[in-house]
Amino acid sequence: MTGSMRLPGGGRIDRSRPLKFTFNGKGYTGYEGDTLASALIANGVHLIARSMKYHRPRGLMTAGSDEPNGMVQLATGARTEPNIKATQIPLYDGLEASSVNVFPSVETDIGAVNGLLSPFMTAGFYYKTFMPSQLFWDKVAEPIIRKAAGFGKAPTEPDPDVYDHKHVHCDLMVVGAGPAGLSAARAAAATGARVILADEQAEFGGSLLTLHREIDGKPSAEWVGSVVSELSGHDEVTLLRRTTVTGLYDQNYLVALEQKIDDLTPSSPANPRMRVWHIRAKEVILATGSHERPLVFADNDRPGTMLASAALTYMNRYGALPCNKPVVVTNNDWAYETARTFKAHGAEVTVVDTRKTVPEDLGTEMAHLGIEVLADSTVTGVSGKHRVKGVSVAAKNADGSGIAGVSHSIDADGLIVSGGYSAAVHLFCHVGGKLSFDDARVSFMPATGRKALACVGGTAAEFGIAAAIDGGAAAGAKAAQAAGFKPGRAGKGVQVADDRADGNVEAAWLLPSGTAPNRSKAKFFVDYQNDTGAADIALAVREGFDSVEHMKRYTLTGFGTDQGKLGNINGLAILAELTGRTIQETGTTTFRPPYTPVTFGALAGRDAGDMLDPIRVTNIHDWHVAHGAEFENVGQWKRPWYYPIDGETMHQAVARECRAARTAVTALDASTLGKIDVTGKDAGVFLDRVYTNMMSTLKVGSVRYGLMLHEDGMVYDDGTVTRLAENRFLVTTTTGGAASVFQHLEDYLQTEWPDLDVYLTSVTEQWATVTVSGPKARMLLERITDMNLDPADFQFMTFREGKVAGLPARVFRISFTGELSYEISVVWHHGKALWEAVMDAGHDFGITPYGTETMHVLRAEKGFIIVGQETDGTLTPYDLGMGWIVSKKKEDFIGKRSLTRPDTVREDRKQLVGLLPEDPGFVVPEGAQLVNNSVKLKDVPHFAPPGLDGAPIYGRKASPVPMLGHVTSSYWSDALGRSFALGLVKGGQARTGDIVYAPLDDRTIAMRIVDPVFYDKEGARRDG
Amino acid sequence: MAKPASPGKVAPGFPPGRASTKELDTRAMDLRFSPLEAVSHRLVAASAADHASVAELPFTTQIGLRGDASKAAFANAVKSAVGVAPPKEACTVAVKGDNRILWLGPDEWLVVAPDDPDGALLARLEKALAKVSAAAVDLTGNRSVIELSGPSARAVLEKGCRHDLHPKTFPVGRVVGTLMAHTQFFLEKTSDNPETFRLYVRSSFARHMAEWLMDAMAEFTGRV
Repeated sequence: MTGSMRLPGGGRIDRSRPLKFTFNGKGYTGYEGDTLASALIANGVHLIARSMKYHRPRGLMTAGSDEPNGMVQLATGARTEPNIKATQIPLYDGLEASSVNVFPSVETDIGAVNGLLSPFMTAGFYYKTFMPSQLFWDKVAEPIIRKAAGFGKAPTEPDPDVYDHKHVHCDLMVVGAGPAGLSAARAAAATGARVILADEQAEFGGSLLTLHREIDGKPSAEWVGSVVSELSGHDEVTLLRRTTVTGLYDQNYLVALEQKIDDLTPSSPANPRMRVWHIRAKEVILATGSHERPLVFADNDRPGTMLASAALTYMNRYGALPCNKPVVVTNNDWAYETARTFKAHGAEVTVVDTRKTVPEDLGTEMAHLGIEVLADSTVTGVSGKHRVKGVSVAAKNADGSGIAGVSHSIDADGLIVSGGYSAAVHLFCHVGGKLSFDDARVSFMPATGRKALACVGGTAAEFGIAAAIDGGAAAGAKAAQAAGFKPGRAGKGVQVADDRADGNVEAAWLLPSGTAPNRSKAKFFVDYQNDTGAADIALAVREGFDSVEHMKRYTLTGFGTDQGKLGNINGLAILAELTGRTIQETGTTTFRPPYTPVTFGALAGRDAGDMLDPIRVTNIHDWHVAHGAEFENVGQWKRPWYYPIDGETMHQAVARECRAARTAVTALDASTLGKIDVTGKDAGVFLDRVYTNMMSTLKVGSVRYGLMLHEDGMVYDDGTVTRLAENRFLVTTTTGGAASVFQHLEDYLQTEWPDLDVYLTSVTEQWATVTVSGPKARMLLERITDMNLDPADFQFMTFREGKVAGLPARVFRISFTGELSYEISVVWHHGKALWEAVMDAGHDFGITPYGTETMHVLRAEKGFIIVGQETDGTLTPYDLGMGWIVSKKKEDFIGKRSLTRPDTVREDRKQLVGLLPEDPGFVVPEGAQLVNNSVKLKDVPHFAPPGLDGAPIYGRKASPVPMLGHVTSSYWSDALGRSFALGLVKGGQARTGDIVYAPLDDRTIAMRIVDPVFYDKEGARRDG
Repeated sequence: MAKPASPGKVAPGFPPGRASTKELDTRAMDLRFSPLEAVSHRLVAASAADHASVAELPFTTQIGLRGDASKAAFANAVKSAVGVAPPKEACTVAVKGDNRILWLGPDEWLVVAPDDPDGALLARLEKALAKVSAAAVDLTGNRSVIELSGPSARAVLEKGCRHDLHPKTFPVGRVVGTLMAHTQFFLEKTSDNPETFRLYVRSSFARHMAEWLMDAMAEFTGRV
């Protein structure tokens, strides 16, 4: 049925502002102030979606974030969003939405065949049917099920929208701006406290947007308006509309999602689409209200079935009539307000009350209004596939366990249900709050919570408006006082007309009917989103899954995007009945964040693109960019990788850079090396303890290479130590290890050796460093410094202070290339000038800038390791052939004891070796595995771990080929005119001359084990 | 594998010829290139005084100071050189004229002073501390000092800084080491009217931080 169901007047919509939208391609009109849901209802559209498992036609159950059915695919293209609840989408002009889970259309859906198969698709169906064969699951079942499952389609294009985050602190955070929340915020704000008030709705007011009441003689809307205007007047109050608090965490840390743009307005950094608020509050008040429960009976999911509170909201707030002939099924007094309102709009109303007796005043009033009330009755079935057509009703038998007599059918186009209200305690439970079930209120209530956390109004199962307002005010005043403000005034109690605080709820879950759910063809739905029925819970109990946590996982009750806001309590109440326990004994599952789904883009915020992670650059960076460098990420640093000229390939550029280093002169931006100033009279002692070799004997002005180990004896970092003065050293670390090494050293100083007189200062970015390397390095440097560069005077592994290019500089004779090298350090902001001066001075020598790739080749030719490339945290200095750097004289150093463990002295440990491919033109890929035999990879059965039962999976067998190690570094050497590699081989140091094999995809490469120093073994070139 | 190209080719853009050592010597000061110099015009363009402004305070002298504040010899030596003793209270700043000492940790401070290319302050400090167990290390190049000011300055920082920056809890004269944009930095509140903050950011991170700040300011300045 379609057509206008818009009421002639009333509601909080702006009828002067019509908005056009489409649903499933068809055009409709709504008004400013509508949600997509209310606009659809006003247009008589009830069939919104299909359910996930049985593809049952479904309509809107609620008017809020508890909606289980009414999910749509919103917008198109890159902006499309799956499974958005129609009840939470403010209508905008041009909105496009479509049904999810349907093919080819919501009216005619092929997946509905699942409904016919439903007797076979009970709880546990997937596990029982598809899991016995892993292969069948992987190849057949899972792809089909995945295609059929889910709610809508994720966008395939990058998200074009901008999202950001905000971090704020406050004295009091109030979640929910209904009567209780508004009142709490007002009381606290009056004391001058910093208050944040957030509500998921576009308008503040909560239940008062639906319920028309008189508060102290004024219409409730007026009361809301005056409180909001008072709050707006406080500088220290932040009001957040369209903001859902999705999680409450320890120490009153809250995360909230604010929807800033709801329509198609493009977002930008100046105007983000959503904002995630991170809120740290001294005090928190939860005023999140309550959720109405449906009732469980046969076919309780036909489109047109709706909660009584939702129907009232659609009429009162949106001016939309859900149906003309509703049957109202209730176990409480509150639903009578919905019946009364329907009647006032001319609807033909019947009330089915499951309670034995109806309160006299209501009975009299209904009779007067001409509304038939069937007391002590139950619903036995619902007819109509795409829309409710009739409701079968029967009287209950004497003990309420079944029906008396036969059912009769009532013509209807809507079914309005109310099973009472459950306190919305989700956030309270996020931080481990414990609940107790209140039999009188028929709701769980917050019991044991955290400090500085209060629940008011519906959250405390306080269902009266006066109680909410008074309780909110008292809690707000108390919270402000606890946060250090003078006691606020809670105010006097308010008078609310027709405030029915007690709904006289009589617990009802699974309604009695003629046929038990598991014998019926009909479905008795508990969790609509997961298509879980009462029969599934019974099955779970029969199969032994009778703990609430097991039942949840077996039947899926409470999963999904609505997190069981509607179905949870009914599900566990039915479980309690089946197992003969009380609801309190049965307990609840754990509510977890987020309260409602959060878009990934919002969680990422501005951490996207170049802002995902810091990009660290040196003072010389712009030169590298201007000269066409390709960059490599080293930690967060951008380091020049190589500098291609005239369309060179990387291979060509690196070979040219290497040749320049061996024959002329080159320059490297080495500013990224970690640098630590170590000052104090115990600095030498300290360094002796953290390096494997002796540092305290270093002479002032000298430099020494050192290795640091972890406590386990494995190589951790390497670098140089320079003695700048008697009590002052400069330590360098690897680029990637700088921060971690600094913390490691500071940790030891503070916790193990606080007695040492040593102070550490990180000076990584105090010094920019340019390495000038190559046979012509001295000739170049002579042009820009007056220092004595005579190698007899300025010796290898020493340092000088002086001026280079007019800049105060420290010059170190350290070589990582094997060539004559000078590492020149100047203060950071002189780095660019130094680099340009070096380039300038070396022009006629053919000075060549080189990047990290050439640095790697040159050092590998010399057999120098790179920590993190040759090493992986499992290698001792001995494994690396660097036993010479482990002091035998020192009493102790970090890692010393571990070097004599039986495992660290095994002879068959993986050891560093040089490797020369027998085919000198072939560069073996780094990471290639090494084996003893010339096997072909295609002949090696794939290795796979056995299955859970210990048997191989799919007939795979474990590999019979023992692995020796792998290639760690592999390059083309311009100097050697051939390929070469470094690698780790078990017992490799004793196997020089042996052949090992690297089986690759298409060939197997033989490699000979050699000494890891390939070039200038005598070290003759370091003095130029 | 293809044979590599011949060596000896020079990357384009290297001007021939060179200045003499002496000529360069006198230019050392002019040759300084601060971390945000290349983006300074963009910082100006992104700023709007009525809302939020950002600028680098280039070459602000910074000296890392380590020592034992409970020892009078240390405190007195620092005071004699800087004009004020290192503050003992956590997260506070001691100010004397243009010099300030920021508390960074129980035995760690940052001395901050105007541009001092000759290093006179460091020399004074080193001399005063010669006989004391302490360390004074030049860190002028180590961090860029970025000043963020304006009525919306706090709101800009709130987009990434988790610290409570409300004037009641973070008044003028406070400093805190914290994180923003995945970057460690020190944040100092220097003025209330308009609200002004100094961010001490590692030089290699300065451009990243500047990009982040400009992006965060757009909401208030309308300048993207």
